[in-house]
Amino acid sequence: MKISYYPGCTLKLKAKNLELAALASLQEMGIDVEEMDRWNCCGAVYSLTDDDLIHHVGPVRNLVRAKERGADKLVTLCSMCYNTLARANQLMKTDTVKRDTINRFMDDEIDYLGEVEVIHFLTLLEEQVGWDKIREMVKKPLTGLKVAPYYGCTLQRPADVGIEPMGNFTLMTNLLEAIGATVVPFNAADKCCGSYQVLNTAAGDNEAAANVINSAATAGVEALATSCPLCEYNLGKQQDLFLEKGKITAGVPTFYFTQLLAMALGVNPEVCHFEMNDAKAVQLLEAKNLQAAV
Amino acid sequence: MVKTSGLKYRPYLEHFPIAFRSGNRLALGVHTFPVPHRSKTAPGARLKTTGLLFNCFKEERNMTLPINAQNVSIVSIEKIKKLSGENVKLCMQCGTCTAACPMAEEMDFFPRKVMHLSQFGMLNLMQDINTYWKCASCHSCSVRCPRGIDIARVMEALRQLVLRTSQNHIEPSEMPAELIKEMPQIAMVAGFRKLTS
Repeated sequence: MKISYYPGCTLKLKAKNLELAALASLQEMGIDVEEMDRWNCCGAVYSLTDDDLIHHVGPVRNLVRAKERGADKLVTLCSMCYNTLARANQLMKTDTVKRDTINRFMDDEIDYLGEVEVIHFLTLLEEQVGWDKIREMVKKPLTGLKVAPYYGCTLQRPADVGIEPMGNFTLMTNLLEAIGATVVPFNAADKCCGSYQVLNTAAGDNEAAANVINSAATAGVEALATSCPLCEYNLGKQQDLFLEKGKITAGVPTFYFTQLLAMALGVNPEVCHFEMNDAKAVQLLEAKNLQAAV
Repeated sequence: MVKTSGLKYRPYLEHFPIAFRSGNRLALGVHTFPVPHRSKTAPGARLKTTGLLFNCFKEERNMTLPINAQNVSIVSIEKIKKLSGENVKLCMQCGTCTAACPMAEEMDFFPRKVMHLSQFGMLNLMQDINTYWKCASCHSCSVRCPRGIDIARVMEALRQLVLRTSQNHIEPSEMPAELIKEMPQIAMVAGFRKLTS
């Protein structure tokens, strides 16, 4: 089976740590994925208006690229890319009228009928590797680190593209347990971090993100694991501002789940770029003796 | 079955003053809405704005808003339906959307109220509220709606009705350079798509 990999814009620059850690882990586990060539922006949000088809062209063009290369599956890391591509794929599979219009509009491309399956990196790990195998491959288990999986909105909603049903966080929980971390459930794992509303609110006024951090701190979570660069920005990089404004009482460092995976698999810490996370993230790793100074 | 002629004999329906359609005529109903201080009085609506209302969370000034053929805009109802693809009339005002909404505390009107105003196409009462601009399209409401309405799509329709008149809700040129430098690209792509025309 051929698996294409769609990185998306943010992963090449501001969330380099998410991508590099994931690719290094895949290499360590012996999984082969191929980055698509000529990929373009997915649009970050799925167009919700009924008469707006032009914004579906971006994600569908990526799916066409994957089909051209003969890929069966398209794997993404970023939650927003996953949601946009998976929903566009769903539209092309189910809505024949809109599908025909989009295919006719892109007359320079081959027709796309929803052949490629869009999957998230977590699903890829479960299908291609399996949690037991990951457990065997772990070199430096994250013993004693209390981590909570944070899914946010786009991994689970809406239901027809969710990586697992609402209210279940088994994929990331299994992964975190496999790499030796202690998983602490908390009640805001599927709450929204405020997403793009960070543009629409004054700096440090994002109540939604502050609420997530507060529930995590109350539940005794030491670190949040996420797969979305925007969640990481809203929750991780804004924490100092929240502390200044008194919206949160204690900070909770955020990591990408791939960074934790790579660290447990014994990948060179320089590849994980922990310095790109919040400063608290590095401090936590040092305090837990998980990572020497990075 | 609910009969419009039987409305006044059913006390519980007083809490559900949804315009029940009878043929092509809208049955009369009375509903109270908090009116934001910025809202312009609807033409034809017999409304008196009696004071400031900055946040309906803190203070509610209820107005009696007669629901009749003059206040209800069939054209606006159709516009919302066409843009969103959703039938807002299915809404039974249970408020699950408001309960699930992570942004509700920052909103002028809660999602439930916006759904109710949408049922009557009262766009003029909604033109100055921030509810649909505060919506983060997280679909918390959509997945929980017991009537199966994708409320995020209704909010998108309300946004688009403004954006398609070439109005920006945020000005990209006014964003500080530092913010642009550190913010992930997906935030800007998503934000500009949702908040600028």
